[in-house]
Amino acid sequence: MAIDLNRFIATFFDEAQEHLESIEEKAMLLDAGRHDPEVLNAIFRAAHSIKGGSGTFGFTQLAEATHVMETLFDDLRKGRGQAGAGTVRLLLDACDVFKAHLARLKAGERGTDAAMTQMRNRIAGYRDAEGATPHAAPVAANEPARPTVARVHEESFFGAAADGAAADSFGFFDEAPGSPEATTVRPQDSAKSALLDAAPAAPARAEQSSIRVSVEKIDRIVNLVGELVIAQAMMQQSVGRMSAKDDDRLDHSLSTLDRNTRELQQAVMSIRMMPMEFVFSRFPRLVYDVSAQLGRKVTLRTSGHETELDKELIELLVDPLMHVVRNAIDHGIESPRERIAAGKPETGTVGMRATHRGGSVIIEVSDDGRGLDRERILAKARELGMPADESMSDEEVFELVFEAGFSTAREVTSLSGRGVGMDVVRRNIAALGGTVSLASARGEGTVITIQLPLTLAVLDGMIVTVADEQYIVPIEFVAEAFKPRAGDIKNIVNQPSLVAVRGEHLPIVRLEDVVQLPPTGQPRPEPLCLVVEVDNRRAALLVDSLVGQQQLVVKSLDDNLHRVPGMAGATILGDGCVALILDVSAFTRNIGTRAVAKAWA
Amino acid sequence: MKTILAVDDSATMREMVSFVLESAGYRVIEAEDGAQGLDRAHANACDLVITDQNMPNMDGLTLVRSLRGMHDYRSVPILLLTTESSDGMKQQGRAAGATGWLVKPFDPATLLQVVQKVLR
Repeated sequence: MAIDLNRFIATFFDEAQEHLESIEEKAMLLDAGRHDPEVLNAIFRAAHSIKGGSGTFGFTQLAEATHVMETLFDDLRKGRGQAGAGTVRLLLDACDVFKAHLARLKAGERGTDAAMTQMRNRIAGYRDAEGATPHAAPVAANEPARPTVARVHEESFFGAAADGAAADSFGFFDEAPGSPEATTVRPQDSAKSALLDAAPAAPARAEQSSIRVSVEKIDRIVNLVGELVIAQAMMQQSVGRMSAKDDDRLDHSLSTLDRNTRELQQAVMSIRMMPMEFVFSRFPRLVYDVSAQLGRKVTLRTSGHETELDKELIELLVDPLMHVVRNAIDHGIESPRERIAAGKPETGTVGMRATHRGGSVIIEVSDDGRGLDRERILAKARELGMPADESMSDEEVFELVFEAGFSTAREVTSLSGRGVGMDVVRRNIAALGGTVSLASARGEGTVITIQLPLTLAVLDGMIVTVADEQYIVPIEFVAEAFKPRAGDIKNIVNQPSLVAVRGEHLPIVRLEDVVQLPPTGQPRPEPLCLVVEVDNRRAALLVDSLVGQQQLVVKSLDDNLHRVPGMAGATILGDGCVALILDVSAFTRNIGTRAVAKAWA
Repeated sequence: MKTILAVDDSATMREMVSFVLESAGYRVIEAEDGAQGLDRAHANACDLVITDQNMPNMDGLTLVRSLRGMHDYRSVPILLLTTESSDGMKQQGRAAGATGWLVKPFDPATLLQVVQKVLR
C-alpha cells in the first residue's frame, strides 16, 4: 500500500515545534532548580517524540540529534548524572539549532546541516564529559532514520514463538470481546484487576479530544455566522414594521431564532479562542536570555494562563509584549548590586498576568525595579522639544514615554534601544483595538496594563447619527452620554471648544467635522454629548442623536476598499444599511485632556 | 466494521495510523496517552488496540496491564508500536499481556498486514 507521507509532514512540523517549545519550558524549570523526575521525563519524551517522527520522514540529522538528547535524558532521569546550569544552556542552544533546522526542512532543504552535526556532537560530548555514565556503543547505533522501515517480525508475536499456552489464548482474535472463549483467562488476572483499580484516577480524567482544523475553515464559518446575524436582525426589523407582529407564533419563533443565532455566534467565536498559555510560554526563554545578557537576576511569574483570547490577537500580541518585558528587565530591574544596596532582594521579579474584565482581556506586565524617573523624563522631553513642565502630574509625565521617538535609556542597549519605543507598542496595541497605560512608583516598580477586546470580529457598538447618517462608536470607549446645557460649551479662539462635565473641561470633537459633512444650511438639533476615553485621554463627541446599542460584526475596510483615516471599519446594521465604525483613539490622540490641562494651566 | 483504538502522544503517528487503517475500512479511535486510551477503551468496544510505549500520564505497558484487567479486554489483541525493540522491552511487553509488537517507524503495508492478521 503506497501512501504519500507528505500529507502528514505539516502535522509533524507543528508537533516538533510544540515539543521544542516544551523542552525550552522544562529547561527553565531545571534552571529554577526543579530536578524532579517528571521534568527530566518530559524532556526525554519530547526528544523521543521528535526522534520518532523525524525517522518516519527520513530527517536523519534531526533523528540522530534528538536520539542523543533522548539518551542523555534517559541517563539523567535514571539518576545517572546530574543536570546543571550547563544542561540548561545546552538544551536552549539545541532548541535554537533544531528550530533553525526545522525551518530549513520546511523550506524543502534536505542537504546536510553543519550546525546539526555540530550540535549532535556537542550533546554527545556533554554526555561523555558532564553527564552520565560513559557509553561504549556509538550513540547513533539505534538505526535512527531509516524512512518507513518495514520491520515487523512474524516470530516476534510472543504467542507464536515463545509460549504455546499463550498461543492458545491468542487464538480467538476474530471473536468479539466477551465471547465465551474469552473466559480462557491468563494467569495473574486478579492481580491485573487490582492494577486497574489502582490505575491513577484515569477514568475520572476529563475528556480532551480535539481535532485540527485550518483557520481558513473557521474564518469562513465565522463570516457566515456574521451574515446570519445580520440577516436575522434585518428580518426582525422588517417583521417589527409589519402588522404581523400581532401574530404570537411568529413573534415567538423570531425570538427563538434570535436567541439561537446569538448562541451560535458565541459558540463559533469560542472556536477561535486560545488560552494565554500560548503567549506566556514564550517568555521564560526570553527572560532567561535577556537577564543573562544584562547580568540581572530575574524571576518571571505568570498567572492567568487559562484566560482566553482570539487567536488572531494572540499572535499579534506576542511582539509588543516581548518589547514591554525586555524594557522591564533592561530599564526596570536594577543590577543585583544596586538592588542589595537599595535593600531589595537580589533577584528581581517580572510578573505577567492575564484576566478577563467585561468584554476585555487585561494583561499586566509588572516589575519590582527602579520605577520611572520623573526628572529624567522631563529633561529628555525638553531636549526633544516636547511640551513639558514641572506642573505636570506624574501621570502626564509618564504619558510622555509613549510619544514617538522617546527613549530615556542613557545609552542604546542592544536589547531595548533599537529605536522601537513605547509609542510603537501603543500603536500596535491600538491597531488591535486595545489600549496601553502605565503606572509607576519610584524605587518600587512599574506596571504596564494592556487592555484588549476579546475578539476583533465582533464588537458592541453605540449607533449615533449626524444629519441622516449613522455611525458606530465602540461601546468600550464610551464613558457616559448627556445633553449639555447651553452654558456648558465654551468656545476659545484657536483652541478646541470645551464642555464642562462635572467640573472637568473636555475638548469637543464634532462628529460632523470628523466625517467632513458638508454644511447643509439646515438648522441642527441640539447636540448630544458622548464622553469617550482612550488611553486616559478623554474627549467629548457631539452627535445629533443616539439610536441604540447593537452587537456588530466588524468588516475590515482594508480588505474591501482601502484604509480610511478616522474610521476603524464598517458593519451592516439590522436595517441593511452599511455604517462606518469610528476610530475613537485617532481623534482622542490628536486632542485630549492633556492639551486641555495646558490650556487651563 | 472493526474498531481499532490507536494510542500515541504524537499527532503525526496517530494521523498516520488512522489514515492507513481508515483507508482499509476500519474505524479508528484515537487517544493521546495511556490514561485517555483507557477512557476510550471503557467507552468503546474496540477490536484491537495499538499503543505507543513512551507517553505522558500513563505509559503503554501500564495501559496494556490495565486493559487486561478489564473483562472486555482480556482477549482483545493489543499491539505495542514502539521505537524500542530490545529483548528487555519484549519481555516487559509480554509480561504485561501484549499480543505483539511493531517497530516505529513503520511501513504502512506492514501495519495493515499485521492488523489484518490479528483481526482476521
